[in-house]
Order: sequence, then C-alpha cells, then structure tokens
Amino acid sequence: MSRQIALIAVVLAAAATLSAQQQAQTKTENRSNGAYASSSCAFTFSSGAGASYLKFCVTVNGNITQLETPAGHEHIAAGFINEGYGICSETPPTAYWDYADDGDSGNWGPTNLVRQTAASVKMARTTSDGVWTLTQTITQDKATPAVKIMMVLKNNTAAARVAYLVRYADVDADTMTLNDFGSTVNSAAGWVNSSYAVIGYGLMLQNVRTSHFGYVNGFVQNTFHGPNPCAFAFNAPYTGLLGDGSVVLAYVDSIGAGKTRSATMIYKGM
Amino acid sequence: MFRNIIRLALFLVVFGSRLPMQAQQASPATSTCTFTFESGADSTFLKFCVSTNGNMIQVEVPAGHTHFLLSAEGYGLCNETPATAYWDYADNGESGNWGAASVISQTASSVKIARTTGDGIWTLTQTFTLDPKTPAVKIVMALKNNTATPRVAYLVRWGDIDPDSEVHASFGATRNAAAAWKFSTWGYGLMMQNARTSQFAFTNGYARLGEDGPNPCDFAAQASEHIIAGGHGSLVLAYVDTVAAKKTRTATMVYRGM
Repeated sequence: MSRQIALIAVVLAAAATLSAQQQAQTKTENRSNGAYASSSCAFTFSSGAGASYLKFCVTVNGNITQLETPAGHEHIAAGFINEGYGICSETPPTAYWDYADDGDSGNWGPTNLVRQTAASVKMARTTSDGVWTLTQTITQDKATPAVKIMMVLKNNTAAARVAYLVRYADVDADTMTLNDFGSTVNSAAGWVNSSYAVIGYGLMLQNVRTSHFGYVNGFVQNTFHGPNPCAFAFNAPYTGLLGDGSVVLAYVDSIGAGKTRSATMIYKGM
Repeated sequence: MFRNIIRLALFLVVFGSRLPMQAQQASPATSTCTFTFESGADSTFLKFCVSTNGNMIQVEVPAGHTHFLLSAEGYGLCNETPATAYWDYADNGESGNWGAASVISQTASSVKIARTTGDGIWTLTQTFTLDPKTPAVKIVMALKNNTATPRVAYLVRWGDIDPDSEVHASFGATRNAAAAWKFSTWGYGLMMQNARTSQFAFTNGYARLGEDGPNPCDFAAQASEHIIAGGHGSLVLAYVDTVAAKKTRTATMVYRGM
C-alpha cells in the first residue's frame, strides 16, 4: 500500500508539473495524426445474439474502433472514433500515444502483426526511439461477453524506467454524445441513463486480474479528447460527469531494464 | 421494444398512483449470514453471504472492500391484477405475505432457495452461484405462476449499496444494469447487471434517490434521470412480463465489482 501511495504521489506531482506545459501541446498534437493513426477496422469479431451479442473491431495499430453490445447498441463508432493507448516515459518525460481519429504522437514505429486467430489478434509496436515495445493481445470473450485486452509493456533499455500506461476511449454510449460517466479505482464507464426508454446502455473499461503495475486507477475525463499520457488525471472531474466525456484506465510502475509488465483489462457492456 | 415502452408506461400510470407503499411489518426477515462463499485473492477476491430467505447480506470485492453497510438487499414481486406486492429486503423489512423459505440444494459454490407467497400464487426459486472466474455472484430467479390463469408479474432485485462502505456515493443505471461506486481515486463499487437474454420482455435498471426498497408495483418511483453524485441511493433491476398458467420465467443477473 505504501508503494502505491508513493506511486500515486509521484504521478500527481508529475502530472501537476507536466500538465501546464504539455496539456496544450497534447490537444494540438492529438489531432495532428502521425504517419500511422487509423480508425479503419482491420480485424472484426462477433459472437452471441440479442442481449449477449458482441461485435468489435481492431485497427492495424491496436485501436478498438467499433464496439456493439448488445445487438444494435454501438458505443465507440460515432462521429470521431477515438480509442487507443498511451505511454509516458517518466524521466525524461516523453509521451507516446495512438488514439485513432484523435491522432497519434508521431513517435511510434509501424505495428507488426504477431498472431491472429478466429477469436484474437496480437500485435506489437515499438516507439521510434526504441525505448518501449507495447504488445497487445485483444481477445473475444464470448462467455461474458467482453473484449479482453492484454497490454505487455517492455523496457528495451539497460536502465529501469517508470512508465505510465494508459487505455482511453471516447465513449459515445448508444451513439449518444452526451453520456453519464463514472469511475472507480478499477474501472471507468460511460452510459445512457435508463430513463431513456428506447436506448440506455453503456460501456465499461475495467481492469481485471491482479495488476502487475503497483498503481491502477480509472478516470472519467471531461473531454472527448485523449489524455496526455504524462498527465492522465488532468481532465478528471472530482465527481461524476454528464457530458461529452471519455474514460481512462491508467497503470503506473517502474519497469526493470529489459523487463516487461502487463496490464489486463476488458471492455464490457452495461 | 414498443411493447416494452407501452407496458412500462401502463404500469406507471395505473399502479404508480393508486398503490401506496405498504407499511413494513415485523416479520421473519433476517440479515443473518447463513451461506458464505469465497474465492480468489487480492483484486480477484470475492466473498459473499446469503440469508436463509435469499437475501445477499454481504459482498466483499476486491479484498477489503465491502459494499453493504445495512444488510438491506433482496427481492420483490408484484402481481399486477389484482395489485399485490410481496417483498423481502432483509433489514429494510418484508411485506409479511411470504411463506417460509426452504433450501432446495447446497454445494460448495451455490445455494438454491425456494419461497412461495402466503396466498400460494407465486413461487420464487433463487439460485446463488459463486463465479470465481469473473469474479461475480450469479443469481438466477425463477418465478412460477402456480395458478390456472396467466398473470403479469413485476420481478425486482434491489440493493441498498454503500460502495466501499461509503454512504455518500455515486449511482447510475442503464437498461441492463445499475451500479454504485465510491468515486475514484480511492473507491471501488458494485454493479447489478442482467446477464443473458432475459425471458422477461421488459428489463431495466434504476438508480433510486433513496435508501428504502421500492414498492415492487411501483419500482421506477424515485428513479434518478441521471447520475447521482455524492448522494444516498440504492439500485433496482426490474423485469416485467406475463407468466402463463403453471409456467415459469427466469431472470439471471450478477453482482460484480467495479
């Protein structure tokens, strides 16, 4: 616990320091795509029917740009399709991200497809400075139903480094722009309230399993844009949100030289 | 879908206005843990217990994070015509028109409990199962119409959830779920979610602006239109449909951490 508190303090201090200088930069850069950002579906999976229906797709870069559950209720592919991942290398502070339509940071190499099956796709991508390799395995879980994402982050250098690993989605639950949002230590969600009779579903991003990262937290953002991975809590309101927001799941820890840490999460209907 | 909307509107207009909330009565309602189940560790830890009457009395997920302070959780049933409400919400009281509950079966990971209403019209059979993988508590509620005529039933699951032992919490609901959580940065929460394609035509979740259990014949009363932030609330998952003579309809839901 003391380790987690220390990490949180580090995160908050870093966020406060970096946010002013980097947030403006983020908002500009997020929308100026690098060479690779894409929201085009490359791998599509579907299962079930009715209430247990789940369909989602993954881009060549590991973004989930369509997610429909239950049948007829889409939660990501509406308007600008923003979903993806980010890394912050704490010292020196360097941010890498790819949020599909919301842009990428321009400092990633190309993505390599490692393996593909009928129910999963695995891809790896290294930052252009060679410091980090992120390997993502995105799997269809028919039973829950859910989309399971395993993100394995490798420190390719000869020195230990602190990494912030971020998953983000501009949730437009039921294709509605204005949603309710809430988050916990373990999850973040956006939904349309059940008082709307015809629609009224949502999407939750949730950490699963005991994390390899000492710090895990879910956040609601009061913006649909992706976060600066080095200041992932910057746009989090203190309470819940009714608005055009987004969800973030963040992991922080030190990663030894040449070592990896993994984070496992799911997208699940609600 | 249209049928669902019409049905919901109908019961709100007809019954919401004319059926007062019954006074809670002294009863065999109990909040004593009788069946306790546990699995996992740390973030995958789940512990819960069930009373002899089929109330969830305690839920802890993940380790160290409990979500019921008042042991007020349970089930309700409305017989639409003539309007009759039955409920058992543990420490929040019961309607006084239930028979005794009986344990049908018990294993290391589940317990099955049946209970018939005092008038003999309905039998509710509940199966609580530990799902260590998710982890989650799965509840299958099978409602049987014991009479020779079809009847419209409203089946309700309700919980006065104090997520992470927080009284002033956040609450929200969709058509498929209702959730309560202690707001980040330190908190966890609990979600009540319909699972599987429901056998009931109407299913809906509600975040209630109040900590008392609902009148099952007016389950949408006090439902918040949007997120409840930092307030007192409770959660409802409601199912409505006709149950044919001598037939059974089943609702399956889960409690899982968030």
